[in-house]
Amino acid sequence: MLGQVLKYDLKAVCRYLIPLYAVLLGLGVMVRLLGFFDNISIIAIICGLMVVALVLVSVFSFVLTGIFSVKHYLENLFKDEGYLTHTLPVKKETLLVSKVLVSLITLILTALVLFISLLIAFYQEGLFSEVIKVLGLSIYGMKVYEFLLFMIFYSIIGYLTTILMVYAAISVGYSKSSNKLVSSVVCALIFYFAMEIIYFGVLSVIVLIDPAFISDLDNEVFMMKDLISFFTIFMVFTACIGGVYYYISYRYMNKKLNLE
Amino acid sequence: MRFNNEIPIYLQLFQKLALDIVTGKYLSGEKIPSVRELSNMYKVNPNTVQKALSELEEVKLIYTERTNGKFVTENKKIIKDYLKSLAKEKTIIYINDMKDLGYSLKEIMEMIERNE
Amino acid sequence: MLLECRNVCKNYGKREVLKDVNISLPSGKIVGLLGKNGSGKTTLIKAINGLLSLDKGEILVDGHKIGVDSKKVISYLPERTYLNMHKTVKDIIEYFSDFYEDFDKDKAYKLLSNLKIQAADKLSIMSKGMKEKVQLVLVMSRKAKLYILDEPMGGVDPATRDYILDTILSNFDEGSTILMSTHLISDIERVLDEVIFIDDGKIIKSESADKMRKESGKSIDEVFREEFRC
Repeated sequence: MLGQVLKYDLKAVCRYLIPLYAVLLGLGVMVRLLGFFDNISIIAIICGLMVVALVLVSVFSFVLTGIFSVKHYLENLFKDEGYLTHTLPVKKETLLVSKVLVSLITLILTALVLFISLLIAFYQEGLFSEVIKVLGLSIYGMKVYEFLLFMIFYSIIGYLTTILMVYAAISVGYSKSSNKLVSSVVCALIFYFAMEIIYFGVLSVIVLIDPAFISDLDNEVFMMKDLISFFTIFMVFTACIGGVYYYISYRYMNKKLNLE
Repeated sequence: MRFNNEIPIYLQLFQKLALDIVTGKYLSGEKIPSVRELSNMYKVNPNTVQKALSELEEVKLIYTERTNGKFVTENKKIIKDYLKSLAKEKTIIYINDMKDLGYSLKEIMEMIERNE
Repeated sequence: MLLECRNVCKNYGKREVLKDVNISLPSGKIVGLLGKNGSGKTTLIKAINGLLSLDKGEILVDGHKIGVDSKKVISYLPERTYLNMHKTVKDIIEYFSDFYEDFDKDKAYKLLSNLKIQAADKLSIMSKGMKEKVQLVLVMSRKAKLYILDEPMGGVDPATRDYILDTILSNFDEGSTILMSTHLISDIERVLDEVIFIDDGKIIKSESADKMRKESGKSIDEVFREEFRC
């Protein structure tokens, strides 16, 4: 059943995403095309504006992707459409796993489209070797691909945990009999501050155990490896918190559902 | 057919079907429509049809042939008797109503004859 | 028993919406759940469909607790439109046949063509009455054990009401049970086997429709009006 649920979830979210992707790719193509005529001043100005637009859309594309995932979660499970979704002969777990997969898949899609769009706009020969050279200079003690993989993995975990936090807040907020949306927002704030406190706690523990850690970070020629081990601890904690949010979302959807 | 919501629907359907049998709409020995067909025809619950049919079976106007369905009785006497009892019932009601209006039996007879 | 509700209680905050509701329904009946607006009809129906959590009590459908197994055997028509408006008729039929093993696609298309609705028609351009008919077709095209119809005739014109009642009747087979809620009693009472009166979250009466008519000499509608006279 997961396949079926995922199919319909993806279809629904892609309805929102396709316009975003069209804009991203369109801007990429425009920047590249107008770039051929930048000896004409008016076109150069337009091209400049396009570049600004492309950068802005790029920055917000991940935020938008997250918003679309959350919007779909809310509408599909807790609004009128929920009357259909929750009466399907499908486990709550399947519904939830599908929503998490959708946010992961759309994140990857957006990253790919963004990458392609930026390549269309700005690719020049030698770009990749240049980037690898610059990166290599700033990450002592680590291979470039290792570093990139780590960053991608780290971003994905961070993104998913944020999305799961909002999912959990909605599940809890919408289990209330009234003021569902307000309850969700309050709940999200509580989760957010709880998360901050936990991070602070983790940091404190690390400093207590190894006081030299922070001073190492201040050292100008610190090893990238140390930074990575520091981030790895955070990544594991973030993933654990994500697991907790998943459980909260599941628990409230399974035991405390309260459709309006 | 319009049903009166104050009287059990199956009784009204029973009366309607009994009338159809004694007036020859369904002939002696003829198969009567299935529960589903009757339910569609009269727009009533199949359970109601079932109940009306079992009442008809009770008064022996119809009988069930195990797999083939339900048939109007081949015993014409039963049909005739039922028609008679219906006629008798209507007559009694008519006479009682007329009596309530103050007519005597003799006057009623005269009226009926004059109307013909 | 096909449906059993035992000591079902539900509160919205401090308000008690269902107070110790007990119901048991066998197979093969058309049952009317009758009550005024706000009497708890919809809440009870939502609880049976697993859209609400209970505060107390238990609901069993065909012997299963509310979950995947109960949802497999219930075909539910909510009192609101849940159809995603961007979809076409074909999309929604595919959706139903993907998720419900007992969904009869051919039957759905046949019923829809009687209504002159095409597969490519978009739901967004349909009138409210039309959407309700499409939803009813979807619900009645399943071969479920329990059909639950919440206000199937609410807010539609009399001609549509006739269509809806006909569709329900002609697709009812004796192996299943239909539970339908309404406050428009006179329109549907001729098809009911059993009636359940619900008021202020409590079951007031639960008996055979004919028995009620025989004992009172009145229509269900009249009995209802007398019972709940304001």
